[in-house]
This record gives sequence, structure tokens and C-alpha cells, in this order.
Amino acid sequence: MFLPVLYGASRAHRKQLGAKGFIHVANDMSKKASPDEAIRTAVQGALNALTASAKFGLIRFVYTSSSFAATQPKPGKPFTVTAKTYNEEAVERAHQPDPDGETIYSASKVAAEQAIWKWTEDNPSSMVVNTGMLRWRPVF
Amino acid sequence: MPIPGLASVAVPYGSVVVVSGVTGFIGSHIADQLLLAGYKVRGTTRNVQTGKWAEEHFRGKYGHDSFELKQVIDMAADGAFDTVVDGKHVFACSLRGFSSSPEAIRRQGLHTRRK
Repeated sequence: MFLPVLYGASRAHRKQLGAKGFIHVANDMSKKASPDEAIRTAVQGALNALTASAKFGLIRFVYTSSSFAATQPKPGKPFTVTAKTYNEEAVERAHQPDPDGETIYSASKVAAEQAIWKWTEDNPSSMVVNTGMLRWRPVF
Repeated sequence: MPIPGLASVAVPYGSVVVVSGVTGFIGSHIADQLLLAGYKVRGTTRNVQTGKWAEEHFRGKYGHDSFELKQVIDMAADGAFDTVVDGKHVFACSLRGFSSSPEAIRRQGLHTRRK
């Protein structure tokens, strides 16, 4: 007897249940995956998050990237980072034998970020996309 | 508490924001800041059992309706986030357990209603 009431309430409620924003943080930090597998998971996971967000009309999408997607830290050495700078060093090293976990992580962040920007170029929408990065201290 | 320094926000306060990786260090802090600002958070994790603390913690701190935890076992699988973003799975849960298929959910709903 109460089921129609439950259904009605749920249906009204359901309209508010669609998300309006997505912050994609998930990343495989287990360091167990091979470089190819880690990169594939990061890229595919990011694109799944992005396409779901666009499909259901979200307003904002943020990928929590990393300073390691932009560059290796180079303490004491002045260098320039622009919006187009990526950590190519890590990408290169990730494809050499026995890369360390940090290198694989960095390369997967580069690949996921590049895939996100390529997708937004290929699929114009009103959803605003950004890739934020976090640093533990200022560069200088 | 609205975000200090912002006169208006693009995503209205009270909206649901999905945070993937919500049980991690960065994800859990982002969820906390969103909840503090007045958003609702739908967090995803690979394992809702080991991630249960997050739901308990955030619901305890911000209220039962503020936070929900959803399992996405493999984020690289096709359409991994679709039902989480869409939100219709919540409706299915409230009726009779979890179903990942939107068609099945719709059928169940209509069927139940006709009864």
C-alpha cells in the first residue's frame, strides 16, 4: 500500500539526483601495474568520467592532475613551465625497462591530461573542463 | 558555509558533485571542502566495504543526506561512471536493492506502481 507513495517520492527526488559537477581524483596508486596498464587505466578512467559528465549535462568537470604531469621537480635549477609543458622525461622513461612507480604515475598523469584536452577539442560542449594540479610548495 | 571570496558559483550550492577516489587522501579532503561549502557529495571507491569509514564519517559530520558512497570496481570499464553521474541507481536502491541497468530500474518502478 505504501509503495506508490514511495515511488512518487522517489521520482520527485530523482530529479535532483543527477550530479552537476564531477571531480575526478581516482587513480591506481598500488604501483602494481605495468606502465602500459597504468596508463591505459588512467586514460580510460578519465575519459569514462568525462564522457559520463558530458552525456548527463554536468556544468563543471575537474581532473585532479599533478605537478608531475607538467614537469619533474628540478630543485635549484631555473626552468620555464607553460600551459603546454608536459613531463616528457617521465613519458620517455616509463617506456624504458623497469621504470619506478613515480615515473609510471607521472606518465599516466600526462597521458590522462592529454586525453582529456584532446577529447574537449574533439567534443565541444558547454561543460567547463579543467585539470587542476597540486603542489606541496611554490615552484620558487 | 559558502566558499569565501566567491560572490557567485557556477555549480549551485546543494547540487550533487561526484568525487571519484573519495576514500583517498586528496579525494576525502576535497569531499570535506565540498560538504563544508554546502554541496552534496556522491563519492566513488573501488571497495565500499573498506571505504565504509568515509560514509560514516561524512554522514556523521554533515548529515545523512549529504554523502553517499558508490562502488566503481573498474573505472576503465565501458560506461563505468554513467549510473553514478546520472543518479538513477539511488532510486533503484530505495526500492529493492541494487540494479545497474536503467531499463531494469524503469521496469521495476512501473511494475511496482501498477500493483
